[in-house]
Amino acid sequence: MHGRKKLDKPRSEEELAAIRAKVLNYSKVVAATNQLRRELLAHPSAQTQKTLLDVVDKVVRVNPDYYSMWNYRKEAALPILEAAEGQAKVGVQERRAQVVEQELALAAAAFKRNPKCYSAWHHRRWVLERGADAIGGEAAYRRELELCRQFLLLDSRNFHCWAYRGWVVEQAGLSAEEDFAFTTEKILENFSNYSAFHYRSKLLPAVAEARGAGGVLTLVEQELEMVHQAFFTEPDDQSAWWYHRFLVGWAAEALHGTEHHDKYPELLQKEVDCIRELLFVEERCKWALVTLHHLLCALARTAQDTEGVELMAEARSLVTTLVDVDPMHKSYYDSLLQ
Amino acid sequence: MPPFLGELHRQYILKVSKDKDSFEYLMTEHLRMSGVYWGLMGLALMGRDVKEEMGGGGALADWVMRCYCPAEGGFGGGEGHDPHILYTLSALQVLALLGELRRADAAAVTRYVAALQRPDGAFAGDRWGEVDTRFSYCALASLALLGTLRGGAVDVGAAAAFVARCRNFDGGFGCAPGAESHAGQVFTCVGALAIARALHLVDAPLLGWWLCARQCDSGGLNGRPEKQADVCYSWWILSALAILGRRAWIDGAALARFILRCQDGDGGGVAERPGNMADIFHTFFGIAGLVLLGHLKTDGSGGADGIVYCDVDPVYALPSALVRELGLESQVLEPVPAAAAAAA
Repeated sequence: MHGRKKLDKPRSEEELAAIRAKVLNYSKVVAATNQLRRELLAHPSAQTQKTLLDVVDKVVRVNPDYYSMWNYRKEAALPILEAAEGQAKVGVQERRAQVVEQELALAAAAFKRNPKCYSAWHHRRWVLERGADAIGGEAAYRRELELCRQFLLLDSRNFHCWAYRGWVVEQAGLSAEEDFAFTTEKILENFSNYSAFHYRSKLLPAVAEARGAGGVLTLVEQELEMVHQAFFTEPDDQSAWWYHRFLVGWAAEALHGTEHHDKYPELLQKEVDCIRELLFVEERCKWALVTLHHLLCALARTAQDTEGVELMAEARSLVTTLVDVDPMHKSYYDSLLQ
Repeated sequence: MPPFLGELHRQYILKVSKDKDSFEYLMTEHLRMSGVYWGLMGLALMGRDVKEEMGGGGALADWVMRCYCPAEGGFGGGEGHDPHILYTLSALQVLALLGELRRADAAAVTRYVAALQRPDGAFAGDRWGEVDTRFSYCALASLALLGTLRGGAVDVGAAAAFVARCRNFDGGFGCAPGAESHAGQVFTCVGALAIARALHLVDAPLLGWWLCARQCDSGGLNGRPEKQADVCYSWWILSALAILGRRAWIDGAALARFILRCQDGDGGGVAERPGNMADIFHTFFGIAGLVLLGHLKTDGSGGADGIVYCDVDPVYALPSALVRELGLESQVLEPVPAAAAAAA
């Protein structure tokens, strides 16, 4: 459905014949699957089961989004995976391990066709939930982390992989700090990695808690330092700006109740100064303008009367600049004047 | 502004519905139920009588029922395909469009949907347990269509609470707690919360900004920062903004121009972006986007093409008239005052 260019000329006879052959082949394989499945339900047998699995394997490699096919694999795998876990009998555990590896391999093959296939990612999770222990337990999850790392190198924005990785991290017992370090690595690789910033926003509270109330201010300052580096390097990349907005809001809550709670207005002022500095060089950077507007409004809320009025006046003038710089979003900017 | 090629798109939809030998048709058998819904909606929004277009609709409704799995109570994407909540919603939507909703066994389908709810309020897609906020939307919309939403079969509050756990730092929503914001998921989450009457769980100003910030220089909308514009976001984003009372935050003329440039002027249909191959999915969402934008007039005041377009409901993604007829309710936020007030 996505990403195919319109044909600039009609298909040739050869192309049409090739397509017809593909259609015929594929229809045959799918028909065979359905036939085998009907047979299996009517007369269960190990041989029919095996033949079905072989044909299903063919289908999902070509069309991994055919979700029912993955269900047939699960139906076959389930009784084997659920066979007395931890049973001493060597055959059972070996069989379980074999099935796990085979299903993981099939999912991996499906990714080659479509790395964003919901069915394939879920199949992987489903299999590991029931059989990770047979292939090393935590070690298996560490291998999954490596798989995720590889996929994110191919496409750092693959949200299926990021979401899957989030689950794997829990199973692997990775600490918030270790995971945090992973997002640092991704961000330093590429400041436009919105997915990494998103993930980091989820980890920040856990990291703050682990470092204790005394470490919150330092953490906030370090985070701000990082986003400054990002948006001074690439002021038009929005990822760091979105994270910055979150940080400024989160810092207020995080510092509240710590020994440094009174540092927040000072922190806000420093941010205002920093953005003004950037705008001095990049007058028309819309993200800087929007951010400054947001910060001035936040400051105005804590400021004394006349100072507050001045801040709001400056904020309003920013809106005029924004409408000039980014007329497409005029309606939104005008709403800021309400 | 390029013209809207309504009749050409109608021909395209009808052609696709009959072209059962193409490779694309074969490869999408598992989602045919949704494909039928997209096609019927494209026709319906262009003011067509869908039953008439489908030769009376009886054969089509029969096919929908052949995709029903009575043992579980859900519908599959195609005949012989396993039941799934995605295709259960699409099936109900198709039956509703054909005026045949009564053919669904409301009690059985309700039980099917209810059995998919997890203790934390989330919904699985099917018995195999995949969780995704798309399924929360499908569940609530399905029950609303069946009239069983408030009967106690599912815990609507818990469903809303789960969706709220999927809210992110940017005001957006992802497929599960911890997952990145994506415009498609935003639609399903905002839609689910609208049906649950729990829009207070949305940070509307922040999300509204994130959504309208998806508008690129081309006028088109992308689904996430740094991604390419795609016509389908014209629906996911515009409908979410409409629910949040902030439809005006999109530059409507620029978006309309983008959608119109995505039309295939030869074979008809709408593609994801200019120059790409058209498909039923993008055809529906392109038309729906143009209707929501008010570019295609639904008050009969339209242009020379003589087509009277139909309003589309942003929550249920069905013609507004049908939603009223079925008595489907939802919460929507009052439109935020327009810019004119600010200029004063």
